[in-house]
Amino acid sequence: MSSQAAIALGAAALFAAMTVFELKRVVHERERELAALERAIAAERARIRILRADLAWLTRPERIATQARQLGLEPARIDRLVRAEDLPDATALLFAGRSLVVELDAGKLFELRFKPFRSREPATNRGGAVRP
Amino acid sequence: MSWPGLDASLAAPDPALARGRRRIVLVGVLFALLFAGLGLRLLHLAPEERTAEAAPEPPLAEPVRRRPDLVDRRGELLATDVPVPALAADPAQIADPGRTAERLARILGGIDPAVLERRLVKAKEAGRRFAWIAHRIAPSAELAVLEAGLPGVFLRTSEHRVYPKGSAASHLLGFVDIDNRGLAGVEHALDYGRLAALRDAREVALSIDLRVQAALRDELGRAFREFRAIGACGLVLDVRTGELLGLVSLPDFDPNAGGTARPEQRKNRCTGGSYELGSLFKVLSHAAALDSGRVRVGQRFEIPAALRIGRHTIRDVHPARRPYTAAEIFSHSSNIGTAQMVFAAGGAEPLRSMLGRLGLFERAPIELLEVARPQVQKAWPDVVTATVSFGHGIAVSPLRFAEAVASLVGDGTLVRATLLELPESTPLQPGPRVASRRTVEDLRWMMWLTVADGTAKKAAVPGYLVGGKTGTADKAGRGGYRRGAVLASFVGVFPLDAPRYLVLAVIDEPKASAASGGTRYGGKVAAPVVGSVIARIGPLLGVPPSDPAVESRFRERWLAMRPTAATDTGGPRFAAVDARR
Repeated sequence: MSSQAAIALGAAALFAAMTVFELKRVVHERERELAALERAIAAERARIRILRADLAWLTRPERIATQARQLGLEPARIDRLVRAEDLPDATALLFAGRSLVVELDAGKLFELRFKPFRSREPATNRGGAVRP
Repeated sequence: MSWPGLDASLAAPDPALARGRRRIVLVGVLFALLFAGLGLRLLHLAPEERTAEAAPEPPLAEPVRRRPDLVDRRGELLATDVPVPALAADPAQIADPGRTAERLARILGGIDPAVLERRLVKAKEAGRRFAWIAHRIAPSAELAVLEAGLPGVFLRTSEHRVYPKGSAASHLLGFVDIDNRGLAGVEHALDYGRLAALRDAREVALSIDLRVQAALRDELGRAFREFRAIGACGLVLDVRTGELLGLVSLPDFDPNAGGTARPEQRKNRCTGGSYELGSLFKVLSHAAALDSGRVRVGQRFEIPAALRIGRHTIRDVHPARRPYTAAEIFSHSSNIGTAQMVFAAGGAEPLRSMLGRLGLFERAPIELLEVARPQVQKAWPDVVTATVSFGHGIAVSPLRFAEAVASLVGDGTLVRATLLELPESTPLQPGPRVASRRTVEDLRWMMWLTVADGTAKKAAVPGYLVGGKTGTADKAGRGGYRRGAVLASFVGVFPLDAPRYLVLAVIDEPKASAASGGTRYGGKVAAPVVGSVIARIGPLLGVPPSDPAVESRFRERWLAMRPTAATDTGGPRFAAVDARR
């Protein structure tokens, strides 16, 4: 074996060692980053849990009731509840959001959207009473 | 390659020398590799040590297991664990418990150093490697403890159970001890009861609707205070699925400090108490009589002023002055009439069989552990049959009773109350049939009549067809019934055209007040509670207004059956119904 080969071998061994060392270092770096991220996630999760509890505490029924009183809100009354089909514009509502595809003379397909129909006569049921 | 040092002395190359040189080089390379290997090994070891320098984990297992969050059917958070800093110790590592205890007491405040020292010493002597110092400390104390750097004392993250909605659902949820173990309600059932399978779930969705729960608690609480009652129970049950939308027992407590609640606050009167519910029971006895096929709704019964059975005499609070139909017996809540109806239907047998089918002789199979056993007489002579028919001599929990009524007015199949939300995708599996369709229809109609023109007019809610039954039961005491102590109650169902929800209110020992017109009747004390609850929760639950056609049908049926003016001697006045509607 020539001495050049020996030196090359040594250099290769050294290079391999350095590569391994560098890899190891990078992996450790990554591991540390990962651990930090995991810690941050855990901390964030803990914060979310506390915030959820806080939110739930702030929306507790007694507090809502007090605020509702201050704002002049009152429980919904049954006579304010109306079936959709009893509304004057029930049909318009029924078709709101639906669409109809038409074919134009030119052969193109075109989508027509239904718009809620606004009744021209003045609304007579402002108070929530159902029109028969 | 040349080696000058060697070449200078030896001019002519000698093959032996050359061989020697090669060997030297070889050895050199070998050594280089060896040292490189050693170096690598060193490098390999070095970072390993760095990870090991992280804080040594004390030899403790995670002492507090996280509990599932409890949410209502709409996802509102009812109970959750929040992480809190806590302080623990490894007693073996504490050299001077006295000094440690003293310093900790100074930092934390509110701790007796002598007590803490004793605990630490005891734990140390017992050889334990873990002892709690404080389950919860203030975040500022956390830093102070770190700075003090006491050996053997560790900061840990502990789980602290919080109930953000406060007392809103205290009896349902229950509470936990300092180690997060359930002591009551659902919390208890999660650890030791029927909900144990859900213990490690992330979230448990309960059947209750917080809005309904809050409305129920609000209205029931108002009556509870107004009538200075000693207790009250209210519940809202989905008649079709058996889901409990609300369950309130008063007085209640704040589960965040459950340990400080007094026994009367802790008692869940809806499930854990058995009561003689009085006239409420007529719903069941009338169902039994009608279902036997021997009694019809329109059948008239003579109502004597008093009914003698053996040595016992039964009387009515409001004596009838004319024969009553079965429907009127129900709507005017005649004890004598009910007893006669039950006897006409065959006596003890049909009543017992109906109560048995409804499961009233067994504990309610709800998920809670606080469930009272019904108290039932062993033998049923005539006098027991008569008293049971109007709700005395048999004590059941309000929940059990609510299940029975839900079974009867729902669609006649057995309903079992549950505290867990049923996913909408699960198909409903109807229970065994307990009453015929006809009985169900008759019962609904009689319950409507009770509200429209009977003892429960105060439960009427404009827009909904409400039906119900009032109860005013004398409370049993030592050696007989106590004078002046009653249980006022009302069970309501709405909307009657397609029953969806049952609302029950039981008020224990109300004192007469101006609001009830100086009386303590269920119709004056409990019926208004149920009426207000229905008016509030109906729109919230999206129950559409009742079909007026059904009401007209009900009314026509009544007009066809009601006594003519000639026989009417001060009984029901139907005009009042028309006037109000």
